[in-house]
Amino acid sequence: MRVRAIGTHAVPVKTGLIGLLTGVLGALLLWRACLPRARERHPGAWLPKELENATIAYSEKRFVAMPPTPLGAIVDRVYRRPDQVLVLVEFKRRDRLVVYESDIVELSVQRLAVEGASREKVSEYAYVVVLAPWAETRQTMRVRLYSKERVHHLADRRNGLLKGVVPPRKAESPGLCECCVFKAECRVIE
Amino acid sequence: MAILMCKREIPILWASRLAEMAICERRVVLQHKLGRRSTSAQRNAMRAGRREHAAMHRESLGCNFAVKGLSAPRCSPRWVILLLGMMERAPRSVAVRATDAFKHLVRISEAFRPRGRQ
Repeated sequence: MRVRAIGTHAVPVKTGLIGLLTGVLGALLLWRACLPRARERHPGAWLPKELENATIAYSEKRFVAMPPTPLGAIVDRVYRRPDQVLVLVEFKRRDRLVVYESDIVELSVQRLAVEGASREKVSEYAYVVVLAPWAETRQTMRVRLYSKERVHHLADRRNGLLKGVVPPRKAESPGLCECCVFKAECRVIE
Repeated sequence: MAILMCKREIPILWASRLAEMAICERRVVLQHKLGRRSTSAQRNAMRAGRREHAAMHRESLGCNFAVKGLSAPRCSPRWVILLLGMMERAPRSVAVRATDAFKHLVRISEAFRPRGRQ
């Protein structure tokens, strides 16, 4: 009888303990999820001095400027300075703290698209913010954007490439060719 | 109607497409002829990038830290951050749309915040 009594009591105690542990674990996970991440605790720490007094004007917004060349862009974030000039910010997830030419081209097109669609003045400088997975803080780099003429020249060159009028150039960095998905087809072109 | 049709016919040149020109022109031509391709590593990187972008968009909605003097205490309540955080793993478009829907929710919560917590 005693053994049975112990047995009948042992099951609810075990279940209760498991339930309690699960509850505590669940509460801990919920608390952890509620806590802002290290990056979010000081979200404005990476902001350059120029943007300290600025406000966020747009975030993840699509802009399309129609004439003369229809240019489209989805901006990551746009700040409005106190003098009402917009400043573009582009977020990049990278292991290295580096700005590529493609970033400058992308931001230059964004500038024309935002200027064309919103009719607001956009700064000729922009910021590339590198979100390194290993770093707690973000790194900011200021870049000078290309002129309107240079962007349109690049767009014309692209049209020429796609029509087959202009011969395409090879990538300058040989490292890019190593991991390119078109490596086999590219050799045929050569 | 004619204007609408005309607008539809003109292809929009997206910033990311033109940026590819600075990487490799041959790749631009091959992508145009053969279609877009990507390796699994590139897809993973893109997924991670989308998550980061959604997090940054959420952050910009959650707290307007750009205004000098405002920092974490002025951020949205934790329940809003938690709800928005649950969407972090969703694709970019879904996450961005969903976070946009929460924009009003954030504003309402900001309105009910006690004024003393600056």
